[in-house]
Amino acid sequence: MIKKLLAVSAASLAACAAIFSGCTSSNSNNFSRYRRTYTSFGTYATLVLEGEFFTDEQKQVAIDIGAEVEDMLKSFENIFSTTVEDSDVCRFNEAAPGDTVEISGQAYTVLSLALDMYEETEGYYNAGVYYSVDLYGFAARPEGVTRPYDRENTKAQLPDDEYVKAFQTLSQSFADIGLSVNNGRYYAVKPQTTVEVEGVTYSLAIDLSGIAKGYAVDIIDDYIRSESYDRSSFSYGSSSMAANKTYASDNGDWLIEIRDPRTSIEDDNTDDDYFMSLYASDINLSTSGDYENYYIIEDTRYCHIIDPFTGSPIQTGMVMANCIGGTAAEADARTTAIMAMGLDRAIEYINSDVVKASGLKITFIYQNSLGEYLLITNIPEGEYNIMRGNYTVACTIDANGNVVFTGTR
Amino acid sequence: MSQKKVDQLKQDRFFKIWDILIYGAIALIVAAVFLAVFLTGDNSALSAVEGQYNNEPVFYYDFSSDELTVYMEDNVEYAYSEDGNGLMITFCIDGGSLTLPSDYNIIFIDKSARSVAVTESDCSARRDCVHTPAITDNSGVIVCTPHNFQIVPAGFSDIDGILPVG
Repeated sequence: MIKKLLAVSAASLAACAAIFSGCTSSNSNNFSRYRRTYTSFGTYATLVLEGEFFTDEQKQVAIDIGAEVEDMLKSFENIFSTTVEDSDVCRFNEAAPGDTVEISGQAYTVLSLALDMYEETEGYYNAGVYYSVDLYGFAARPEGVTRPYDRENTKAQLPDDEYVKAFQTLSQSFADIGLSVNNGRYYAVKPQTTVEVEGVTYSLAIDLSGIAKGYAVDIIDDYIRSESYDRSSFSYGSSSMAANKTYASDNGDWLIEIRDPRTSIEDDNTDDDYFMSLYASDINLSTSGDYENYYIIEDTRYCHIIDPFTGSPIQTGMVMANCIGGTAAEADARTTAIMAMGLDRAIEYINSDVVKASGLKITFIYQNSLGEYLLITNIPEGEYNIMRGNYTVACTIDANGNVVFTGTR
Repeated sequence: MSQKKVDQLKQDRFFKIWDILIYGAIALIVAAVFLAVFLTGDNSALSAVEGQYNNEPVFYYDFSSDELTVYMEDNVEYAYSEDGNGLMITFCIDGGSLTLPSDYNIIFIDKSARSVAVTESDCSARRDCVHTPAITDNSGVIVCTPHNFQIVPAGFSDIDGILPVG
């Protein structure tokens, strides 16, 4: 009986110790989070700050940071939006071919980056596809604006080929944008290229909102870290994100769960909306997919990502691309480009020196000719978890660190 | 039963001392678990709430600034009560209707009580969301599974260490 008592007593003490030590081992319960969401660029953005928010003063600091972030988002929108009529982007788009347009330093920075990413991805990232995006009904416009190519039901009727080809040609002049700095003022020179359709002349129009969201993430992340919130995250619609550390784990890693791009149609009676997870901290990441904004005409999916080499929504079999590493702005451009590249070119890109040198972790899903969803990634096996059975890993990583495709095309 | 066994049973106490100690230890564990749960729950006052549909924000209401932000305008209709103390939000899922309404949840925000409740819905016969107690602090949550809709405390709340992506 004494043994029995000792055993139960020991178990009791161990249980109590476990319960209370569990409360304090990661110190997570000394901390809480401040979370605020915003509307910006037609989507939502989310700020998360973790810290000790016991007193009103401590809470007010977080609230003030949240308010400052709101002001920063408004200023970004006033520069990069395609719906704010006097934004830098709208003024550039409205300018005549060959005109020099004075732009803000931030617009200059983002345009420079967009041109760099155009070069790095060999034109697969191209911010000059605004008219193509608009032609297929995915662009944001200033209120009340109509265009000659508007259709009665944009998302049920495909555009005329004449427009598709003309706007694709126009987008190739993106690389000809001239940038200059003079006496601390910033300028962009619009290319001379024009196209004419049905008697209307069009010159280059840009849409920087994708990469600008990533840029906003980078700038806001710098700001919240400068305010000593290194346990924090900031994201744009959960597609572009800076994830610092969290108090929820001992090593500061977040559990990052990547949304299942086919949840809505692959009903396997699960509530799980995510197909892949991994642990990471102090990273920037971006995700692009054909599930974010799309419509279907005659069994063909038309999404908001334009292939710069066809002028139409991508038909590459690419379903989703995720990039971890680099800046959020770079990651935005890279995932958009990968979606347009298609399987073989995307694998070439993953294996390129620039990706390896930057330590980027890239994952994408490709739907093959059999309708299977194949997952290709340069993240080593064991560092991620696949949560859904309808995705098959279809690659290996060879001795040189190159991704080798092992699936069916 | 033998006489010997009967005598032994008569001599036995109802509880032996070791049994009492064992039961005491079990009670201690139960009390410890209760205290752990109670002490670590976030019972701080509600500062803001967020409605989420398919894990994306539908609306956000901040009690301090009395500010409502609507993210999915096509899915949301709202009206303030005459005394200005209440805010009624009608949310319908994609494919539902705000005018009928159909596929909807009606949410009532009581500003002075700092509470949020779902008062009506056509989600299912059980209407679990309607019967869920109002959210009054940062430990509450209301989930409507058929509509893939939930209301969660926003502003200050517990950390969870999870970042949804994509």
